[in-house]
Amino acid sequence: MNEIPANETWFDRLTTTVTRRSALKAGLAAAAAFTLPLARPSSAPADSIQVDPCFAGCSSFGHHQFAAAQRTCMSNFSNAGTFLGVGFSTLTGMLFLQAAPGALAHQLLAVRNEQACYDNALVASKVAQYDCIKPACSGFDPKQPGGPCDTCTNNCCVCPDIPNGYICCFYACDDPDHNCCGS
Amino acid sequence: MKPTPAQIKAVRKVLYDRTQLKQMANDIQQVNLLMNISGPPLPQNDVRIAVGDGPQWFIQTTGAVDPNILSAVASCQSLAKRLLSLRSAVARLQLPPADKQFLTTALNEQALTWSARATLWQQQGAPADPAGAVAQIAAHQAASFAALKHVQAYLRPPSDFNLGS
Repeated sequence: MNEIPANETWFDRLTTTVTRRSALKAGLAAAAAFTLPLARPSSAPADSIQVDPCFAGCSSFGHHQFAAAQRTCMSNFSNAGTFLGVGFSTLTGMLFLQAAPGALAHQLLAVRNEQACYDNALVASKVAQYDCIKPACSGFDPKQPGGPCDTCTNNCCVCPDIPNGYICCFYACDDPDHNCCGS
Repeated sequence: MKPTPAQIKAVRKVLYDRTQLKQMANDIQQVNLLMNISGPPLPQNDVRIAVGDGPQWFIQTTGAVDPNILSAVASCQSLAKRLLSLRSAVARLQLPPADKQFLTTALNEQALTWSARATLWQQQGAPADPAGAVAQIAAHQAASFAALKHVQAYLRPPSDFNLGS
């Protein structure tokens, strides 16, 4: 987190937490965290409904897709993002917008497009995640570009206990002597 | 008709009420946090993977909308309510009629933007018309900003708050 100079106001502190720079830092931290083996709960509660094993991979892919969409929003509308912070900050931003007349129209358009970008990314992730909770994850293909098995040259095996939900395996997924996923 | 300095001051007193602004900023932060758009790093075993990877929309085992989404919806509704409260306060001021109309429209449409998000987000299942739902939000946003362009004189410059340029 950035150091907050002592002479800044409460509002500066609020806005500082959502600046593009801090978001990028958080993104880098998130990317670093993602490289670590994350432990998912390995057992479901006794009263839970059994879901398809594809869920973890399908859901994980959806989150990756959202992160990519958010990066696009930040990248395409960096001016609005720098001023207003990432995500939904339009409201406070709109009250503080006062620029030269031409610049204001441009800035409002940029903010509007940025917010639409986030709205699109969110609704797309909702649609994608809804597909994941349906039987067979609505035909989710882990080998699709950017999917968890995008780079697999051999077999792509379900492995719900790892973050990506799938693992590339030289052996057949049902090979009783070689379990790539572990047990 | 140009607004008088007293009228501008009266509008700014409503729009920039410190308590209201703080509450609205808090609501927005809650939305960003609950929707996992930004915020501190997530716990290692969080199903949302990492901060910035977006929300978990549904409870895996039941298909119901996730409680975090419902909390974000509450923040959206709170924002809409606060904006409508600002609109009511502005409507009570003595202002040039056209300016009052633009200001109240800007605030009302901004409130509708947040209400539309709340409706979309809390909906069970996937939206039947995702593009249409987003277009509806964007239309309110556009209407709000279109009105705002006409009442720039009432707004405060970002430099007043050290928000950059």
